[in-house]
Parts: sequence; structure tokens; C-alpha cells
Amino acid sequence: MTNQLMDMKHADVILVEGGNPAENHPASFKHISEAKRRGAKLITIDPRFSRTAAMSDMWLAIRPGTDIAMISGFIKYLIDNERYDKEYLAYFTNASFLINKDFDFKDGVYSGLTEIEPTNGNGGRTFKYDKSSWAYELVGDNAESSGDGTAGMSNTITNEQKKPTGNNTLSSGIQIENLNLPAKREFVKDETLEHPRCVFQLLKKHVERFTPEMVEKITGVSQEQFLKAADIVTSTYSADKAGGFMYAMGLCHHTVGAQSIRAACIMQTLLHNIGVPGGGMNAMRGECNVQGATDFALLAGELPGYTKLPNTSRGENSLGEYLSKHTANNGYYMNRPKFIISMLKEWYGEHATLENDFGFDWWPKDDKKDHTHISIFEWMMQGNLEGFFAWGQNPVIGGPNSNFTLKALSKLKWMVNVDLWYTDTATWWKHVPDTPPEEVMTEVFVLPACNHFEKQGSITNTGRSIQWRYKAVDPLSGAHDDGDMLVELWCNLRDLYKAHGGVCPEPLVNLELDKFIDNSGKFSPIKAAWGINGYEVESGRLLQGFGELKDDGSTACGNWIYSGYFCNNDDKWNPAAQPTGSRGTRDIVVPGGDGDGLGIYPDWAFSWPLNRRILYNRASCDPSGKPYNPGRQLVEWDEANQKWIQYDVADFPVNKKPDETWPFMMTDETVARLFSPTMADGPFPEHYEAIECPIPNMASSQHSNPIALVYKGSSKTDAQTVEKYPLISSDFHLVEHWQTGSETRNQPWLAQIMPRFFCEIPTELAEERGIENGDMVEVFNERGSIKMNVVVTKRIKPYVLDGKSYYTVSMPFHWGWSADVIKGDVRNMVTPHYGDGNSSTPEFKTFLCDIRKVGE
Amino acid sequence: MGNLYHAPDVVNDVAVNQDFAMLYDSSYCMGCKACQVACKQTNMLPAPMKDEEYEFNLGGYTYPPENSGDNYLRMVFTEVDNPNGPKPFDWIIRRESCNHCTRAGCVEACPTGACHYVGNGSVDIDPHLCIGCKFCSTGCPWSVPKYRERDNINAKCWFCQDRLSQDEEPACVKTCFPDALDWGYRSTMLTKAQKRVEQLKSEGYEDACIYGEHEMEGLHLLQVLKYKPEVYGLNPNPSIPLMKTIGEAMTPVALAGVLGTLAFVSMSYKNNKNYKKPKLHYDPKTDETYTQDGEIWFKDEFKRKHSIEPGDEHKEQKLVEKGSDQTVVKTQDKSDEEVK
Ligand code: SF4
Ligand code: SF4
Ligand code: SF4
Repeated sequence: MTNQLMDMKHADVILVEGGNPAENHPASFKHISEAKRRGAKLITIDPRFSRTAAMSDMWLAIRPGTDIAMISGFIKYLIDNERYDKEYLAYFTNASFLINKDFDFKDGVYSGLTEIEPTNGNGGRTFKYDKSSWAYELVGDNAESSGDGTAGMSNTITNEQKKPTGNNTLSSGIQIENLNLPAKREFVKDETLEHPRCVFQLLKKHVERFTPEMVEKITGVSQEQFLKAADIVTSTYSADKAGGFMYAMGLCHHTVGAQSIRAACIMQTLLHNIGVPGGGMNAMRGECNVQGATDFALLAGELPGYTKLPNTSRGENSLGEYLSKHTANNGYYMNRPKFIISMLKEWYGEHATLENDFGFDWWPKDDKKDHTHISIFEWMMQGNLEGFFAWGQNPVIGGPNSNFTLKALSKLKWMVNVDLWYTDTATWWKHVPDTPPEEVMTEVFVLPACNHFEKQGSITNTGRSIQWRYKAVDPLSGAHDDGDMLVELWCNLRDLYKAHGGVCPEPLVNLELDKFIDNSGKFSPIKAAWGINGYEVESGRLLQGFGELKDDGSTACGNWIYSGYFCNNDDKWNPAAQPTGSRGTRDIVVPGGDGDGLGIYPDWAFSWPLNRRILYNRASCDPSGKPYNPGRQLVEWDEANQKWIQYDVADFPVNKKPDETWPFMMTDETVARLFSPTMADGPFPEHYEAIECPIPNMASSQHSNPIALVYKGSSKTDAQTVEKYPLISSDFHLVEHWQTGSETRNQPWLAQIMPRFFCEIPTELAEERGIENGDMVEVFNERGSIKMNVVVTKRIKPYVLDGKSYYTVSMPFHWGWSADVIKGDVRNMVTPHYGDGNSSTPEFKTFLCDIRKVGE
Repeated sequence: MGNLYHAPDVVNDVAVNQDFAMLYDSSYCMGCKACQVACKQTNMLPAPMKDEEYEFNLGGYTYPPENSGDNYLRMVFTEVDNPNGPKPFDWIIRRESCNHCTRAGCVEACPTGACHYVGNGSVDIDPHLCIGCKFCSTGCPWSVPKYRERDNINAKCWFCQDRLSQDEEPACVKTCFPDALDWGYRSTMLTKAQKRVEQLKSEGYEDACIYGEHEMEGLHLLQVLKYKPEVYGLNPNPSIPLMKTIGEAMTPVALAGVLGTLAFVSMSYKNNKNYKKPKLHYDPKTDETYTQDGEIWFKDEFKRKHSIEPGDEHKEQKLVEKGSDQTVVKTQDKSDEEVK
């Protein structure tokens, strides 16, 4: 979330797309309601009339999976109606940058698409983009020869077109072998935004197809409604208005998930809704600590603090080579070596020295073999995994394709499930298709964990606020803190390695986890917090922020973005005396406004980075540092005293004058990217249909995302599939239940308010099939079949194309077999193994199925 | 705001009680049911523990299918086509619980005085006096009180008198995220509701209205509705059903119909006949209210603690005595009348 929940009250328009805050993020609705009370318009784009739609001024009934077409329509509308500020775009974004001559986009495909061998033996990605043509034109480029040949090499990071300088000295003066720092790039720009190859013109051309007629045809939303919504949404371009965009899994759970979000980012940037109060790209995080989990390397291929794993297939075999690739040539990530060396120092302590690359060799490496969720189970099915930890996760219900998952698990020798409850992932062996429990040979260990009232530590909320929580009660006997279990596991493994040797013991043996253990032999979250916050190696002094980090091994820091959250050296053992434990309710009132606080409460806990509450806040002022919307600025240039006034913590180097600061300092270009070469499936978002979809792609002849991950093990899609399973299936979550339901289905008060698994179908489909409200029905496809009660409703509309109706069957996923109070079939029995081209997020929200009455 | 249970406005040195009311604004309610769960929790009401005990309810969202003696509050979801407003289709949500009437059918129907006016606008059923006869349910225009077998009483929302006495809002109000529920002086709530209705009208909800301003001489649950009450399934002109008290005459047919019940009730009442609401007295020295046998009377315990400004014993005594007198008198009046 770029902004904070409490700041949402300043929004004039809130657009919710692919989200349902009233049901899934009810706490956020307090702030949406506050905005509504102040006169904000709320628009919901959702295939289903959700409880959020019930609260909204407008509901656009979109066909599942067509969000990019809708947002591209908005972008076209705002460009056509000149609802943008040229000066802002030229200064704050890469709109004026010229793109390489060879860059091309034809009929749904960008230049550079090449076929590759799948990395998982069971399918996955079969195409990939060579991105050398998706490059900026640089000063000194020979306009005839496009790119320099090296551009496509490092295609997942931000450093295309690197020109090595031969410099191998870091800022602290130490020299690293094989280090070759990149040179700063000079971009060719056209600030009038007229050049046909400038980003703005390319974007304009790219969205040209998405006229209101086209949007209607693809999404099913009538032109009249679309235009009405477009007018409201794009009205926030004016400097005195702010529009917030809220989204959640409705955008993510698609093979075009990452690009749907990017489309919204582009729209919000064009409308100047980033870096201002009430605006933002607001990802609502569903789990109380999912933001924290993501910050600590939730994703395969990452290390804490959004650091990429070294990738040996791209030649990152030594610290020097790795830093050369990942250090930016401009902007804040020029400091990356400090973060990385400090992290290595925190992991390996005194074992990490300049001579051994600070232990770089012991870090895990990305072997490009696809270790994301679906792929893990595909590997498992192929018999490539012996053991498995499901730690605080319930993949049997929560992951896609449950029947497949069950069969895959039965190929394991052992598995460990750590959870509060005896979940479906602890009892899966009772349910393997075609295999009686006594024939399942996997040994299953269940370790009961304690819940958040029974341990202390910090959680990070959706607005990046890290809040400390204290232990309230002792856990039930037998249940343990996850930290204790992890540390004990490590101690035992280390001792075994020490006693018996083994292949490559160093990564485990040299890891310094014992420093997290307190005198009683237990895991100490406070000691861990010191490590995360960072300290001086010599003295142990806690650092005040990542500005103090060094790249010579004299500082250690477990996660640079958290630096400063636990930094009070005077009372090191007292979380309440630390920024993360502070509970001040002071708010900031900006002079010249309506006297109302910004809602950023700087003394309440600590928001990473550096307690900054609203990211990219440089954009609240014009290039010269004058507020765009007086009274709502977050920083401001004080001409008389020649310094920046900060209402929020500035998101740029404040020692520089307005024209010298970096408007968006986290990119190498130091501006926001409307065109982004970092995405795997195109620098602009393109509309593709889902892999399983009965409707042809009307925007191009490329039906689905060419680089989406399609695993063979679980699905067959061809023309027949569409005939056999003509219905579109989608899903939603309910406020009454929590994820896979292990907590809520075991709690009678919560079970009682939503006891039964159900699906929602449009009235028209019910009539066609003779299904009545409340009937027991079966939803099925090649992958599985599930039973539930049916809710026949007008809250889902059929999508009509050329006189033919297409229907959506929608289901929540919270039910399963193992709970003491309520049970139900597992919705993910029918979901496929398709993944998003960028993130591999499974396609939960658009695929095919059919429905019939039970007994027919 | 001062005390939420009894807010003595001191007029000419005499304490008078001002009514409190709950405001439910359906246009801000997102149907999250957090209030429903908070109600179960604060009142420690059990829910079924077995899968088999649950059933599917048509429409999929309104749960439980009916309120019960163990469920005082539920949110009701209705899909409506072409309501009179800016949306061509809407999914409306309303609150179903006791309305806390100024003229309460349940109180009028209750043979034992268990149903009573608390004095702050709320209507409560005293579980010690309730004999489980279900007359309150019949007397209520919305059949709110529900019979509860496990302790043979009728039960309903009591506006969390225990919490009020601790200067806390009712649990459901406290828990509501979007502030669709509010609590305060009835006059304040009414003004707020009127403003909101005006605003809704200006947004195009022509039929927006307050439910409870005049119904039953004024409800203490005020509901802001976006559409006409009928759209929500609410009776626009509620009245106490025919059989309001047993003593009152009925049509012969109806009378015949209830004779059986009556026989049963009188029997069960007989068992409780000797029960009399104890005469109470308040001792300012110990700050307690006692029954004749010298036991502390629990009902007044919370009043004792919080209703009165400390140090003003005189006023305190007066108020409590007034309260208990009223209740006792009423109880005896009615039981005499009804047993006859
Ligand atoms: S808690 Fe508030 S918003 Fe939620 S259902 Fe109850 S009244 Fe509505
Ligand atoms: S709504 Fe029914 S139960 Fe509640 S006070 Fe009125 S008559 Fe009594
Ligand atoms: S006021 Fe108390 S008893 Fe009544 S519904 Fe709310 S929580 Fe339940």
C-alpha cells in the first residue's frame, strides 16, 4: 500500500477493482466510510454484486479476468479528454523518454518473444521475451544499431542497458573482486511528449483499441455505464482532487495478474494520484501480517527486503558479479551493496569476511527451476521431493487443484505440518483420491503452534506499519512459538552436521541463529528484532535507520527496510520504548488546509521505510517544490530558508534542491515508469483472456498471455473443454470466514453466521437449467467435482456476446473436511494449475466448469 | 457524555432520566455481522457445536435463519429490483433485534412483570421473573422475544444494560467498523438520523426515511432506511397484536384458540404464584440495594455503581427507590389483574 488506511478519508473518488473491502478488509471500511461521509464517490468493479458494491455509488459488472481492458479504456479516456498534466508527466514519469527503434508491438505480442524449454519437467513457462528491444534510447546510442546487445541479459532487475565502468570500489573504499559498477545513463527525452517513439505516444497508441465499444464488448459493461464511471474516475486528475485505487486478490489471481495491477498503477500515475493524501495504489493485505511476510521474502526467488536471490544461470557466481548486476546506476538503489553486505554480516557474523565474499557462497541461489507454489507440487508429483514443511499454511484447501495436491503429497516420504489447528493439511491422508488411508506411506508430523495471543513479536499491517504485540496468555501445553520450533530445529541440524559432517555444511553451521536464543534457551523475538533493525558489529549499538548502513562489513542488518524500527539503545529490552511499540496519537495538520489532520499519525508504531507514511510524497509538490494542493502537501520547499519542510518523512534526498531531487528515487531512472522493461510479459499491460475461456480475445489474435505458466500435470484444455464445461467459474471470499476456515469453522459463533458452503449463479442460468434456489448442486470439471447449496441471484449478470449468454458460477473457498464445527466440500478441487507470467500466482478466478443438480 | 445508563439531567435539583437510543444507519452498514458476533459474545450465548445442527438458509447470507433465545440480533439481506433510488438494483441490509418501544407490547402482555421499562429507554426481560409463557412474543408487533428452552425464559436484546452501567456503549455499537451503529440521547440520535435522511434524499434516495421515530410512540432503535420500510420487510404501521394482555377481551374465536395456552400458562404460573418481586431497600451507607431477606439484589447492582454522581446520597436513594417502586408496583398490578 503506498498510502495508509487512515489517510483514505481524503479521497474524492475511491475505485475498488478486484477487491471487496467490506467483506475482506472490514477494518479498511471504517476509513472508506469516513471518505463517503465527506462526500467521496465509491465505485466498485466486480463480476459479483458484493457487499462492497452494496455500499457503492456505482457497480460495474465486469466479466471475470478482463480488468486490463477496463483500465486501458480508462487510460484511453483520460488521454483523449486531456485529463493529465503535461508538466507533471514530463518531470515525474518516463513519459518523455524515447524508446529503442526496434521496440514493437503487433497483434498482442511484443518484440522478442522466443520459445524456451520448460524449466519444470511438467510444463510451466514455454515462451519468454528477449527484452533487448524494450530499452530506452540513450544519449550516444547509434540510432541505427538498436541496443547494445547486453540489454536483455538481466531481465528481471531494473538494470537494463548497463554500461560497466570498470569501477570495483564500494563507497566505503573496499574493493570487491569481479565488481564492475554500472555507469549512469543519459536518456534521450522529448519533453513536449510529441515524439512518436516517446513513452507517452507509445502508450497512447497502445490503448487506442480500447474504445468504449471495445470495452463493452470485452468486459460486458455497457458503454453508458463505462463512460459515467470513466468520467468520475478520471476527474481526479485535477490537482485539488485525489482518487484512491483499492485492490486485492481479484486482480492478482489471474494469468495476467501482475499486469492488471500495473495497468492500475499507470492510470493512477497519469492521474497524479500517487504520492498525495487520499490517493495511492492500495493493495489491501488480507492476512494480518502478510505485508510482513512479503517483506521477509515470502516469494520464491527473494531474500528479505525485496532483494533478489543470486542467479547463477545469469553469471552471478560471486559477490562482485552479483553486486554489479543489482546495484543501480542512479537513484536510491546505488546503496544496494550496503544492504546486501550488512545482511550477509547479520546471517553469518564473524564467519563473513571480505576474503570469503562475506559468505556469499553460502547463500541459496536461484537455479531458475521454478520453486513457486504450483511448481512445488508438480515437482512433488514427479517424485522429486522427499520431505515437505507446511508451516502455518493449508495448501490442500488453499492451493489450486486439491485432488492433484493430495496425490502429490502421497509421493512424499515425510511431511511436517505446523499449525494452530488439526487442519486439512494435517489430515490429508484420509482423502487421497483412489488411495485408502492405510496405503498412504507418507509419515506426517503435526506440530501444534501457539497463536498471536500466546507469543510476542511484531506484525506489519497493510499500510506498512510495524506494530509490536505482547504475549497475553501462556500457550496450551504442547503448543510452541514458531520461533522456538525453528531455532530448535536449527540447533539439532547444526549439531548433527557438526558431529557427522555432510555435503556443504557451511550454510547451516555458519548461520548465527544462537544469538536469537535467550538465557532460558528460548527464541527471543527482541533479540531477533535487534538483528532485523541492524547494529554496529563492533559495539552492538542499534542503528537509527538504513542511512547508517555501510558496505565494508562494519554493520549488520537483517532487513534494511525495517532499519530504525527497534533502535532505542537506552532501553534495548523494552519493546514499548521502541518506535515499533510507540502508541502516540499525534497527527499532522498541514498549514493552509482545512485544519484537519493528515491521518498519518507518525507516532503510532513505525512504518517502513524510515517511518514514511505515504510513499513517493515528492509528487505532492510541483517540480519547484510548491504544493500542488495547498493544505494537502506532504513536503514543501521553503524558498526563504532553502530547505525542505517535511510533514511526512520525505521520499527523496532532502539535502538537494527541488530541481535536483529524485522524484521517484527507487527506480534507476528516478522517475515513475509508465513503460517498464522489468515486467516479464510486456512493458505495457495487454489484455489477454484466461487460458480456459469460452470467449475469444477481441483485442488481438493472441488468446492468452504467451508467457503464462501452464502445467501439464493437471489440465487439458482444448476446444472440447469449452464444449464440455461451458460455464466460467470464479471465486470470492466472505467476511464471516477466514481463508481456509481452520480458525473460523472451529469457532461456533463464527460458524453460525455462515455455516454452509454455497455457490452463486445468475437467475438466467438457473432458469435454463431448471435449478432452484437452495438446491443441492454439483460443480465439476476434469479436475474434480464438489457439492454445495445454490444461491440463485441477480447479483451476478450473464455476459452476452452476439446474442449468446455466458454465465459465471462463483464460490467461496473457506470450507473443508477437517473442523470440529462446520464442514463442506473443498472448492479448490476444481481450480487449475495455471500461473501468472510474472509472479506465478495461481489462476483461481477464471476457468471452466459445469453445474448440475445432485441426482440428475 | 456522562453515564450511558442513567444520565441524570439535573433540573431544579430533581434527577430526571433522559432516554437513550441506538441509531442504525442501513446506508453505512456493510453487513459484516460483527455486531451479531459481538452480541453473542457479550451475552455469552451458545451456538450449535455440530455440523448437523446447521442448515442452509435461502439466499445464503441471512444467518441464523431465525433469531432465537440464544441469538438476539441478526442482519437480514434482501435483493431488490428497481427500488426508488439511484441504483437500478440493490442488496439491502437491515438489523433485526428488539426495537425498545416507548409503548411496548411485550411489557403490556407480560403476566409477571418480567418485561419492564428500564427507565432509560430500554426494555428488558428480568430472567428471575420470567416464567417462559411467551406472551411477550405474542404481544410484540415483531415477535421479538424468543423462547429459550435451556432456562425456560423468553430472551431478547436488552441494550446491554450491564455495559451501559459501566459507561460503555452496547457491544454491537462498539464493534461496528463503519460506524453504522451509534448510541446516545434519543434526541441527538434523531437529529443525526434526520440529517442523514436529508442527505440520502439529495443523493436521489427519494423514499429515505427513519423507522422508529413515531412507531409505537417512538422506538429506541432508530433505523435510517434508504427505501420505504416495506422494501425491507418492515411493517410501516406496527401495532400491538390483538392479544395484547390476557386480561383484555378477545374475539370469541381467538379466545378459544388461546384457551389451551392459557390453561398451560396458568398452571405454570401457579408454580410461580408464590413468587413475589421482593421489596427492595437501598442503604446509602453500604451503597447496596437489599431484598427483605438481606440479600443483595443483583438487578440494581449496576445501577448502584454508576447511575448517580458520587457523594449525593440523597439523590441517589431517591432515584433508586423511584425505579424499584415503579417496577414493583407494576409487577403486582399486573399479576393481580392477570391471575384474576
Ligand atoms: S457491525 Fe455495523 S456494519 Fe457490520 S453488520 Fe453490524 S451494523 Fe452493519
Ligand atoms: S420490539 Fe417487541 S420486544 Fe422489543 S420492546 Fe417492542 S414490543 Fe417489546
Ligand atoms: S444492544 Fe447488546 S443485547 Fe442488544 S443487540 Fe446489541 S449487543 Fe446484543
